[in-house]
Amino acid sequence: MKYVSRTMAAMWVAAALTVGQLATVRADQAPPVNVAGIDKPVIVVTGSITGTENWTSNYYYVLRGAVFVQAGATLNIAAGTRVIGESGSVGTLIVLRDGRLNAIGTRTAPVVFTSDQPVGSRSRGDWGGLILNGRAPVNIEGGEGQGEADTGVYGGTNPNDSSGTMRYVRVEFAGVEFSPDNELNGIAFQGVGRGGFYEYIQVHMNRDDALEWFGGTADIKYAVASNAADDSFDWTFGWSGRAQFIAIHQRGDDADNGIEADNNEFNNNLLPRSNPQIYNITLCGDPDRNEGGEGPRAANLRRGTAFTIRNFLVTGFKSVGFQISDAATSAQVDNGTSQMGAGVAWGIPANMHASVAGYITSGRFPSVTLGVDPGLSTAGCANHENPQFQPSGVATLAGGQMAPIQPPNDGFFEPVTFIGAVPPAPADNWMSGWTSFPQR
Amino acid sequence: MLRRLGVVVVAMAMAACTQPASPSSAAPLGHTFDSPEALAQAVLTRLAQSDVAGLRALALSEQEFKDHVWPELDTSRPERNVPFDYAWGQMKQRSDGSLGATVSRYGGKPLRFVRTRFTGATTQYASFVVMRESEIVAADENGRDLVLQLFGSALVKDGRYKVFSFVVD
Repeated sequence: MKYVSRTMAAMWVAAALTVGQLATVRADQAPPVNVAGIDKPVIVVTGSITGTENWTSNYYYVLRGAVFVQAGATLNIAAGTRVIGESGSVGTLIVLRDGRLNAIGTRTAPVVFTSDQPVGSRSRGDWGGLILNGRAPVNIEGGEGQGEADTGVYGGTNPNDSSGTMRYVRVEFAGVEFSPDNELNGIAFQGVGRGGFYEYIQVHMNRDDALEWFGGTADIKYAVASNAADDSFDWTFGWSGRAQFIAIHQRGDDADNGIEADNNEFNNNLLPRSNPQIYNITLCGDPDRNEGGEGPRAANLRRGTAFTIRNFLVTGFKSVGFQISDAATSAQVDNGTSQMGAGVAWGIPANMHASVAGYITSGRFPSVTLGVDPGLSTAGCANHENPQFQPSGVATLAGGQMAPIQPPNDGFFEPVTFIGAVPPAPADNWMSGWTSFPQR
Repeated sequence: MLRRLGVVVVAMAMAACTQPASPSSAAPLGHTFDSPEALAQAVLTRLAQSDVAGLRALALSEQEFKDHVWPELDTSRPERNVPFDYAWGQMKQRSDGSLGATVSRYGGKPLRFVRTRFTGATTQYASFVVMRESEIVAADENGRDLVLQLFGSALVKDGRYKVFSFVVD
């Protein structure tokens, strides 16, 4: 017993020293302190947030370790605020069920969650990321996920649940490994309901998936997933949200699928079934093999997921465009649930996998053109520092086959005149002003 | 005097960090094997029987993770404020999910072990090693070699091999 106590005490000291050596920001906990070389006072945040807290751009906020927004608490983050995940302690922000995160940036002053490492030395996995837990349905047995303790439980019975709202937010250089085989997503939407709003969101340089949906009903609009080391846009456990204007960019040094889509690994037919509706998405792989051999596939649709994917542009992946990987997923097409249409795939060794190409040939997936450049440069789209998602207007709008399918008029989706995530020039590019693509 | 005391404290701390953190009273790891080949063979055997419980037993249990692994992970450091249940729950959920997919795809199929290797990084912890990204080559009924990722990492402790988790991304 004495041995254990002494060991623990010694480890505390060692841990404190280690943090001091690694952390860029050397500051004690709140109240704010001035740190040499940093232009604003710093507030180091630890432990839990209870009640209502308002973070403003007058300070830098450093997440030290896992910071929990407790049930009943609300964290409001104002435009222009920079939240820094401490590398040494792996800062991570976890919103528990019934907690809320409102991060409301603007186009010229986004809220930025980033690394504490100096520009030029940053890398994927410098810090944790964001985890949002809600009470919307998931198709995990028992209706809840990760029910081992009262931390991180997610899922429930309220599809209209709200975990808050995020607008004009960047999350970059996150995705640390919690333990071997267990890395964090940039933003994990776990049983998050449609009561909140998520729009103008970028996750950049994450070590695992950029955006992952574990069930729930949350919607997202105007989102960018760039340079994720695993999948860019991932769903499982019955996600049934809506998504429009989604831009995906990969870097071939480390990447997997543009979209990885599951219903449930254990039982492909569990309900509620994953069945998101996605309109206007551009997926840009990295065709440059000198960069690396990763990023094989634009979409791997599997394990019983249903889907609607319409108005898409797909290019640059190393092997194949969209693929349906099993009978349980094909069945959702055959029974009329899953929909795909109005898209172009080009610049890929197999623009569509045979499991999808057959539906295109038969007309089940209408208005899909393969092997024709629609006016979006594959090389420009794959430019890592400044990816160009905006096609030339003439090419995209030329011909009826490139006309979009109008999304439902349901108050969420916007009517469109184009396919892909970004309207053709000279229309306003919604990505400009608030996104950023630093490699280090 | 103070400086000397500081040096002693740092030395103690470093020594503590290099010692096995798991208490001597912890039960030894169960279902371990003396080589990666034997571990891979065990996975294939249970997979051929669609023995999910048997496969689960090959991976770390919650108690084993708590006793042997957690104390040595950076994530368990107090300033990181990550509850054990949270870290374990996250990993178990992903591991169970991957195991389900693996059994669904390969369960009941007789696969003959050919060779195995780990294509990811190897990480040395105080009392164990983690070898990442397992790869098993196995021959199917037609004698065709398949390259399979049936589990994620392997943990090696005291010369014995065990599945760390079934997480396969």
